[in-house]
Amino acid sequence: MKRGSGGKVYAGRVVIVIKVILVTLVVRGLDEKTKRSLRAEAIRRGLRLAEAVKEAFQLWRSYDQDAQTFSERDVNNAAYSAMRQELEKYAGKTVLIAGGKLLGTYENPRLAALDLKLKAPEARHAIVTAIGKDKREELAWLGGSLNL
Amino acid sequence: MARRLFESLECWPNLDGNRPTLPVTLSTLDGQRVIHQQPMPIDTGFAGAMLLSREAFSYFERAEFPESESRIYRTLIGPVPMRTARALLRLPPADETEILVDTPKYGAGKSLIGLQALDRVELLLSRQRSETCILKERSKT
Repeated sequence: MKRGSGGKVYAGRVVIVIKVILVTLVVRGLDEKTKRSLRAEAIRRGLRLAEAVKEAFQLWRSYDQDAQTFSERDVNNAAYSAMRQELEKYAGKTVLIAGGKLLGTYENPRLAALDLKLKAPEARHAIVTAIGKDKREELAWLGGSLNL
Repeated sequence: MARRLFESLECWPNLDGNRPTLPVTLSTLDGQRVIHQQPMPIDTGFAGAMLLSREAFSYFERAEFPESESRIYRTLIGPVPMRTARALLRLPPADETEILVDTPKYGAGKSLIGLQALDRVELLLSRQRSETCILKERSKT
């Protein structure tokens, strides 16, 4: 009686069990352009295709650590968008939004940040914006440290 | 043009011998100190005040701009959307001042000091000495 590698006992012969840990993954519906650019990028980085996919997946997963913040952020941004018109009446004031709610209006951003400590100390994300003053800016970033 | 004389108040060695740096102290709007006297590289091509890594930016998420008002940077490779938040910056020898910090919406980002943060200081970038100095203009008397 001999013991096989899988822990099973067989009479008179050795059974070799090879665990297959390398799998072939078939991705259906991936367009030719994406496939080619994925392969080209892998070659450019000196990786095999499987290694490139693994690396990309790990990068993707690394963002999951912020999942709670992202959701709080999404809720706050959705609340801000919904209230945008209504907030116009606070022109010149700073508004504080956390937990998807307008928590207050203030003379300046620092007062809003201090009040956040009292009203929502557990919040990981909040919007602090001066109505009518804070507007989207487009700035230049020339060469130098551009590698993100 | 009238001649102006400056004296250096304090100097710091460049990072890796060639990247000008200044020690930065950053706090959240409610006064919690997050970064203390940490040398950070200067990038005069970056028009904002400070770019932060995603990790460093996470400390300032409690005073973030709405996404629709966060900044966008024009670069040679196209627009880069940012997440923008308020922070308090202290650069030697200036007082603490409120600035906007950015981190790329996509990607890990990096930390650097941009032009807006340098508005209030006189700076010498010395290649020969491989150091960065804060200057003060000498009085004419």
